[in-house]
Amino acid sequence: MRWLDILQLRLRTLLDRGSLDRELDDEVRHHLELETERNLARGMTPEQARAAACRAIGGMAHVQEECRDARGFRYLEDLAQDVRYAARAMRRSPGIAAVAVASLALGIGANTAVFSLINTIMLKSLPVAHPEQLIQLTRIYGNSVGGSFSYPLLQQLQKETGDAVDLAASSRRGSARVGPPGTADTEQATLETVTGEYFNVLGATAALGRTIQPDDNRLPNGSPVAVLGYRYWRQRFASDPAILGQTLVVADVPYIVIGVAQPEFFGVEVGNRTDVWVPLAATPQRKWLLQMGFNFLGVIGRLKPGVSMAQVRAQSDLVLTRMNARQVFKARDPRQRQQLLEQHIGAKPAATGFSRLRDQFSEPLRVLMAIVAGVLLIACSNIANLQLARASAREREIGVRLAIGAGRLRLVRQLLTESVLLSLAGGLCGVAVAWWGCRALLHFVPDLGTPLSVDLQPDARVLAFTLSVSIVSGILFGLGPALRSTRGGLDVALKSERGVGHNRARRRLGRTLIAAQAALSMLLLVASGLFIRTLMKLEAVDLGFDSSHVLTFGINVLAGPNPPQQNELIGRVVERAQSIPGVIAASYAFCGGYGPGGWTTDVHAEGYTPRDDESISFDASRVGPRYFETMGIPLVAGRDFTGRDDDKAPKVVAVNQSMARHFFGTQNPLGRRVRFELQSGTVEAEIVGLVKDVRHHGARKGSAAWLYTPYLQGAGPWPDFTVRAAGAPGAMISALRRDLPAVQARLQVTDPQTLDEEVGSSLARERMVASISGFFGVIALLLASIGVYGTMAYNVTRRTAEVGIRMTLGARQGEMVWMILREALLLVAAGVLIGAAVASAATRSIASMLFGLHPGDLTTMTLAAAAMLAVALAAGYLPARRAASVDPMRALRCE
Amino acid sequence: MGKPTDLVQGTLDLLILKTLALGPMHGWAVGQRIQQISNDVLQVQQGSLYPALHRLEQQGWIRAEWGDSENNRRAKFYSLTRAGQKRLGEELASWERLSAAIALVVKAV
Repeated sequence: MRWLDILQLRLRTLLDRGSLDRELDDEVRHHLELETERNLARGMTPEQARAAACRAIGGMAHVQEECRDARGFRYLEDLAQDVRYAARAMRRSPGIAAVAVASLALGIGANTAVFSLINTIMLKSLPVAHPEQLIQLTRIYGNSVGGSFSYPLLQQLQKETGDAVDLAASSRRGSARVGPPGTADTEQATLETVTGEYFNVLGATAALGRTIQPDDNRLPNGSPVAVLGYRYWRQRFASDPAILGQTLVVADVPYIVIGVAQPEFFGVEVGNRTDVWVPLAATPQRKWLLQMGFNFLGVIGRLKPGVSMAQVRAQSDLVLTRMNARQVFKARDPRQRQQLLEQHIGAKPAATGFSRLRDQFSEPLRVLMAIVAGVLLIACSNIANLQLARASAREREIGVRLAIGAGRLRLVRQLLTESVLLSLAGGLCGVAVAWWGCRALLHFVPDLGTPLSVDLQPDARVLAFTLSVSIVSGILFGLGPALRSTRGGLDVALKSERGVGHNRARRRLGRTLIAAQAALSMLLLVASGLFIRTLMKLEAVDLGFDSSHVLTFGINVLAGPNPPQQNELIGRVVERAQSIPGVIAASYAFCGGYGPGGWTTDVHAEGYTPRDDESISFDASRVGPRYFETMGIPLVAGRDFTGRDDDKAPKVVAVNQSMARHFFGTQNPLGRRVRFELQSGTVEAEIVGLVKDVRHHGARKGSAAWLYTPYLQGAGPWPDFTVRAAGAPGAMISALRRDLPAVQARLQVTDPQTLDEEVGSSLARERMVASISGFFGVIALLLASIGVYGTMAYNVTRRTAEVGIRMTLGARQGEMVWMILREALLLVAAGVLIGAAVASAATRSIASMLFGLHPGDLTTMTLAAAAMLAVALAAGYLPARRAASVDPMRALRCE
Repeated sequence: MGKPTDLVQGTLDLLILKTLALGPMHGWAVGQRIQQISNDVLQVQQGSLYPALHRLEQQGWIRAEWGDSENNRRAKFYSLTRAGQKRLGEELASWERLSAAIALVVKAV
C-alpha cells in the first residue's frame, strides 16, 4: 500500500512536474494568506501583515526549492532539465557544437573501430559451451613458441593426461577442391583435418546429422566422412538437408557427408572459417601420421573440473621430455640435439581460439589503440578549450546564478551535462565512423591464403566500450572548464569586464591545454614517423631478386604422377608457359620463392671442418633450369642451371655469397665440392654457380647462407612455378589459365600472384601500422592546429584594445604580429619539448616493430618538431595578422 | 551553508506525525497547532515545515489531498497513512527511550 503510494507519487514527480510546481505555489500562497490574516487580526496594517508573513516563511523561492529537493526523483528531474537546457545551448551555437561533435565522432569512431578489431581478433570467445575451460598446448623451443605436435606425441599425451584434460587436434589444410564426384564442378573450400575428439572437446554440435566421432578416426584407414560448415552448406548447397549421405570429393578423396556444424561454429581459427572437416585418418596424410618428426597438429584441450592449466602443462612436459630423450641419441646435428633438449610444452587459455591474425596483429593493434586514444585526447582538449571560451561568454550568467543561490555543484553538474550530451552525440556519429573505419582497417589485413572472414558485428562489449569512452571523454573535457568557470563569485564575474589581465586562471588552463595538445601531437607524430620510416627502410632493402615482371603460381593435377613422369610433366608445363607471347622465361622451384617456411639440409664443404658446436644445417632450395634468370637473381660467377643438369649429368649446385664466404672465405668457390642430404641419400656435387644473397624470408631477416640444387637431380616435392614477363606480370594470368590446361587433362593453375604482391603483402603489417598511424598523425596535427588557432583567435579578440593602444603609441604592425605569435610559438615549443621527452621513452616499447631505426631516432624527432612548429606558426599567424591590422580607433572604441 | 533550525530534523517529523494523528489538516494549521499545544515554546520554522511535509509525503507516511478549508479556500490537507501510524509508534518509542535516558543522566548529576 505504502509502496504503491510512493510509486504513484514518484511517477507524478517525473511525468507531471508542471502541475506539482503549481500545487506547491498554491500551497505556499494559501499559507501566506492565512499568516497575513492572522497578522491583520493582531492589528498590523495590511502591508505590515503581508511583509511579516513573508519574513516568517523566509523566502518563497527558497521554500519551494527545498520542497522540490524533498521529491524522490530530484536528480532525474534536474537531469531532464539540464539536458533540455544543454540542447538549447547547443542550438544557440550550432557551429561550435558541430565542430565539437565532428572531432569527437572522429576520435570516438577511431577508437571504436580499432577496439572492435581487437575485440573480434583478440577478445571474443569461441561460440562453444564453456570456452573458459579450453586451453591450447604448444611446443616451445628457443624463440619459437607456436610449435605444433606430431600425431604420436598427441596420442601419448592423450594416454597420460587423460585424467586431467581431454585433448583434440586439428590441422588446417588451407584451400582444397571440393565438389560432387565425377564432375568438373569443383571449387575451392577451406579444409580442416581433425582427430575424432575434436568436436566433442570443443563442445560444438551438429545442426544437421552428426559430428565426427573418435570411431571415425581409427587408423589405418578411418571412415571417409565429412562435416560441412553451416555457412558453406547454406551458400554452396542452398541449405539442402538431402546433402546428408551424399558423396563429396575433397582434395581428390571421396567422403560421405554426415553432418552440418552448428551455425555459429567456424573452427578454432579466428578470421578463418572452415568449410569442410574430415577425420585425419581418412586423408592421405595418414601415411605420415605415425612419424615422430611430422609436426603438423594444433592441439586444443578441455580441462576437467578442478584441474589447473599448470598441472596439465607440467604433466605434458614430462611426456614430451621423455619422448624427445629417445630422439636426442639419433640426432647428429648439434643444433638439432640442442633443440630437442630445449623443447617444452606451453599452455595458454584458448577460450578465444587460435589466430594467426592475432599472433601477427595483436601488437600493432595495441599500438594503434594507443594512437587513437591519443587522437581522442587531443580532440578532448580541443573541446575543453572551446568550452572554456564559451564559459567566458557565459561568465555573467554563471556569476548571477551563483549569486542568487545556485549551488556550485549544481552548476558544475549542469555544465557537465552539456559536455556529456555533446560527447554522446559525438559517440553516436562515432559508431558510423567506426563502421566505415573497421572496413578500412580490414583492407590492410593481408589475405592469409584463405578468404578472411571476420565477424565485425558490434557486440555488447563494443557498444559498452563506445558508451563509456563517450561519457568519460565528456567528463574529461567538461570538468576542467566547468570547475574553472564556476570558481569565482558574482564579484569576479561582474568585475571582469574585458581588459588586460582578466581571469588569469582560465587563461592558464587554456594555455596548459595547448601545450598538452602539442605534446600529445608530437608523441603521435614521432610514433607515426618511426613507422613510416621503418616501412620506407624495409621497402628500400635489396631483396636480392628483381621482383618486377615476375608471376608465381601453383599447378594442381589430379592423381600425382610418379617422379619420372612428374619431372616430364613439369618440363611440359614450363615449355608451354614459355611459348606464351610476352613470357621471357619460366622456371620452378621447391622452397625457392619468397616467404616464410623452407627446406634445410646438412651441408659439408670440401676442405672445411666445422667446429663441434657449429650448426651444419643450412637453408636450401631445389630449383629448375633458368631459375636465377627468371627470378632476376644476379649471377656473380659461374652459370645458371639448365635442362641438362639432370640425373644423368654430373651433380652440380649453386651457392650464394654468404655460403661461399662461410666455407671458402675469399677463395673462389667455383669448382669446389660440397656434400648434402637429399631424401634419396647423401649427394656430392660441384659448385658451378655463385649468386647474390637473396632474402627469401623477407626484408627483416638478414641474408643467410643458401644452397641451390638442381630440381632435376633427385626426386623433389611438387614445386611452385614462376614466369618472367616482358610487360605487366598480372596480364599473364589469363593466358596461363587458358594455355596450361592443354598440357594435361584436369590440370589447374592455382594462386597466381605477382612477386611484387607477395613482397608487398609480407609488409602488410608494417604498411597497416604506417598508413594508419600516419593518417592519425595528420589528424592530430590538424586538431592541434585548430586548437592553436582557436585559442589565438580568442586571445586576439581579448587583446584588441591593448593592440589599439600600443599601435596608437607607435608600435609597428610587425611587432604586434610577433607579440601575439610569440605566445603561440612558446606554448607549442614547450609542448614539443615535453612530447619529445615522452616519445623517446615511450617509443622504446615499439622497438621490436621498427627496422633500421632506434626508438628515439633523431631525424624523426626533428621532422616531427619542425612539422609541429610550422603548423603552430601557420595557425597562429592568421589571428595575429588580423589583430595587427585592426584600425586603432576602432580597437579603442570597443572598450 | 547551514540553515538555522529550531528543531532537530527527526523531532520535527515526530511532531508533524503526532499532530496529524489528531486529524487531517493543512500546513499552516500544523504549524499553529504545534505552537499552541506546546504553549508557544516550540516555534516551527515555517521555512522548514513544508519541506518536511513533502519529505514525509514522499516516504509514504502522510498523504495529501486538496480540499476546501474552513473559510472555503482550496487548501492541501495532509493526513496520516497506515504506514504513517506505524511510523509514529516507532518514533514515539524511540523518543521516549531517548528522553528517559537523558532524564536519567540529567538527574544523576
